[in-house]
Amino acid sequence: MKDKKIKPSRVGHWLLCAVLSKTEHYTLIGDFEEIYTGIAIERGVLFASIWYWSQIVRSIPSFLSNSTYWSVQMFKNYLKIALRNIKRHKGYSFINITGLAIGLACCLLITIWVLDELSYDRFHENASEVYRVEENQYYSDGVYHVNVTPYPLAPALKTDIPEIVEATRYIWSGNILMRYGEKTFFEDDICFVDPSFFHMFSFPFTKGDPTTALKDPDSIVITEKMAEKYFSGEESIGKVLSLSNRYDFKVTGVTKNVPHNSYLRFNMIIPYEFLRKIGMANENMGSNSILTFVQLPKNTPVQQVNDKIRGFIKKHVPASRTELELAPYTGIHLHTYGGYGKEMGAVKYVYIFSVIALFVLLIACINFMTLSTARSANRAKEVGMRKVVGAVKGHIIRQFYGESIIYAFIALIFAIIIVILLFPAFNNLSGKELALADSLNLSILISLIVITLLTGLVAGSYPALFLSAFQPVKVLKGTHKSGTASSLFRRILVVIQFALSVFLIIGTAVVYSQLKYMKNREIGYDKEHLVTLLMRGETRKSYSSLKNELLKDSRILGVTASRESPSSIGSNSGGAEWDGKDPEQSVLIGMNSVDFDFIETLRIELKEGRGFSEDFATDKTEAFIINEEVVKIMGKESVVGENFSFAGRDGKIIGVMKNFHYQSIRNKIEPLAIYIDSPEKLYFTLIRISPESIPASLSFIEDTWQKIMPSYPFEYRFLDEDFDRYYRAEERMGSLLKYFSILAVFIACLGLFGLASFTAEQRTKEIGIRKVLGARVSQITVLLCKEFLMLVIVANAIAWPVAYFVMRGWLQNYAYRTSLGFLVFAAAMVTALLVAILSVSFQSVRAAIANPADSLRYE
Amino acid sequence: MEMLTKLEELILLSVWKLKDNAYGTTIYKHIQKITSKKLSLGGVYFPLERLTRKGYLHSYIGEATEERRGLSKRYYQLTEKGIRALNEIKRINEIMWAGYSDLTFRQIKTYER
Repeated sequence: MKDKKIKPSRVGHWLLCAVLSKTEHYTLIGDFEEIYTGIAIERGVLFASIWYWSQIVRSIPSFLSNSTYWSVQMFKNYLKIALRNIKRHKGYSFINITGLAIGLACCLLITIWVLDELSYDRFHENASEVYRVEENQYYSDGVYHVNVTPYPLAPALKTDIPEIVEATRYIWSGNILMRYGEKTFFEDDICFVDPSFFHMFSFPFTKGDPTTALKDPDSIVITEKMAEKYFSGEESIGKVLSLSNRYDFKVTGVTKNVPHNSYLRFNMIIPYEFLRKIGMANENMGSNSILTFVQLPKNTPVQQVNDKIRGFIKKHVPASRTELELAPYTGIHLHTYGGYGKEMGAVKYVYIFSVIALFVLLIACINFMTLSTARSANRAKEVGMRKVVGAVKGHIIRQFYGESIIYAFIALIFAIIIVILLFPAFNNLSGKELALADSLNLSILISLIVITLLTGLVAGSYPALFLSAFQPVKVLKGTHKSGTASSLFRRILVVIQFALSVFLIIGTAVVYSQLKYMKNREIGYDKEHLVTLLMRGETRKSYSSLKNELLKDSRILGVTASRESPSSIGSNSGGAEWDGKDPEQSVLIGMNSVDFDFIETLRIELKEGRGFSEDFATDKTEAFIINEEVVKIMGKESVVGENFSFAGRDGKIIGVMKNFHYQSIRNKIEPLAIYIDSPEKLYFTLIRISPESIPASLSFIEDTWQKIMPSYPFEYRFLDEDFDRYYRAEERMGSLLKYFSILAVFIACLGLFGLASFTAEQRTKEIGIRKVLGARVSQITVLLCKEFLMLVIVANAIAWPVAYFVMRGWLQNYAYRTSLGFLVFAAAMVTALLVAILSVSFQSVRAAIANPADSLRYE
Repeated sequence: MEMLTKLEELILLSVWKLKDNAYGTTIYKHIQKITSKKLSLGGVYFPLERLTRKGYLHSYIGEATEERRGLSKRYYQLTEKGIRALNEIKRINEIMWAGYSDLTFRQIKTYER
């Protein structure tokens, strides 16, 4: 009997206690214990346990029905009260729901965007095993991270490194003339790859066999879009497409169109073997120009392979300074380095915009909190009553949480409507082409519900905990006062709200001022009124006659040619030599070959020396013009006349150009050397036209073109348009930030408006007495506004330093940046104050001009 | 008068039978012994509560023992209303059952045949 080991199972006991001890049923637990002990002594612990559990199991159905019945009843009551409250206080409900709806809509849009960003390149079966081979090139002035690799690298890696099971080259090409029968088009996104391409990347085929499609060098795989364009509905397999009117390809496969969330893009795929056959492949291990992708077996540690391939290039080219490294394919879109290792990938924007969406939502949640605590006096009696008739703290907490979640879900409905309405505009802003129907998939819906629930919980947290703590006696006796603690908390919340808003305003202002700075920055030459013609195929042979014809007209001020567009010179080389150069020193110098008149046509300023001139016979083969950066590296006072060998030619420096931007304005101006080359190797013709007669000049150029090269269509661009695309990322970020800040400020003001009207209502009597005693309307208005304005000023004081450090960090991305002036901060403060005054003053003035007789009458 | 369920009737009778020792466990065991039916403890406990609320019983907290893990017993006693209700049930039952025997049951069977 006194055996202490006889105790029912802990789980069962815990269950019983959990269910019963809340009520007065603890004696029942005692009965359970007693009977259990009895059975255990009589028939053994096993029987006793069986009895114990059977008792519990048998009570489950009735327990469940009982408790669900009551929770449904209470839920109905909570719902009724919540809806009644929404109806009765239309103003507050409007503010709350609007704020939450806007916040949720922002969050939803950004979630769609973020999920899309994260979905890049995940659709390949082997996505996680595929890597891009990248290079680290070591030069005296630093490491250059480059993602282009030599042509022969892919097969060499596959043969030499056992871990690399597949490898392919990827060569992008554009502006290729394709013909089928009568249909001819210039096509972009034509790619040359190895046959293993379709083993590594699973682009689904609708026709043909991916394993054999690229076997034959004369085969071509096209997308559905291309099949429709050339064969419009006919069977495409076996059709022959011809490239540049010279090479014929047989269609062996049709793939689905490349999805928008793919890093690799193509319209047509041609086997690499073809390039080799026509002698276009560069078998030099030392030059880098194409992408290389490799596939490792599942679960191979990358580090191990990295160690093996690091010195791979040096093994083939001992003088090389290049080390290889693998970068995961799925990370390319978000994390990869662009161009020269300076730009971080899109992941930066993913972070920035996620944080901003959270800010906006938080501001909306804070509205909800401040307004509910402010109105707590109205709800206090209800809470008191509930407690008197038997509600415990938990019930009240549950009720208020439930209420805020109901608000959140009502807001969600409006948020979805907002999203549907704004979706096209959002696509436009974010530069994506998403379809709403595709975006609303399961993961979005789940995250939507989770976000809404969280919003409800966050927004409801303070009211729930605050209101549930009311003591019924005080409340019902009327001695309850919403204490200083709650009003202090409310003030803190308002400060947080406005600090976030001010932060966003400052961010927007800085982004815009950087944008303006970049747009107004002097490029270093006159980029206006420069027409660019892309010289395709045979047209380069006619360059000289084109130039001569054009220069006969007085409206054409200059004609020259350049291998690369002056707005984006991407080629560079490391092998520059000059007299007195430190043999250890190695520098990467940008290179571009040009035609005569380049300096004059672009109006590049010369610091020293002269431009290229046909009067000097040697200029064609021996002359270099360098920019100021090269002079700095050479470290000499005067460099004109110095020997200089670069790009495979030994020559002399004949002039020094002032620095000008030849790449994105975000980047620092790097060293550059230019030299004369035969026009057949120059892809761009640059024409300076007179600003007075632009249309006439253009039509004259077109006529001349048609006269000389009637078989090629005339296409032109203005050079300054090229520069505009460099600002696109900043423009996009600026306009997104702008809209989000407007929303944030709007929501914060809604809250302030609600709070102001509440304060005015609370102080009706005080205002009445003040007026009776002779206060003027202006004095009372100031009295009511002052408090809020103080809060906004405090918010500014908090936001300024944070914004300063964050935005200074952001500006570090730019080699040439605007200064973070005091003006931006002051402007943000003035904006915040103005909108705060706007939203507060309406209520304040209304309260101030009210007739004191009305407000005091009910006493 | 309010009609009581059979279980409630049995519980009231058990409380009367058990006199000063009427609490959850003993009532449960008593009913189980007499009816030889499997009951759940909660199935006894909740009617006991209901009867208390309706005023047929009153309860008081009693002593705790070791095998109850130190949790008190709740003893039940009949109230005046409870005794009256039992009397009433007895009276009705006697009228209703008057003249009934196993023979009657057999007669019905014969008739049916």
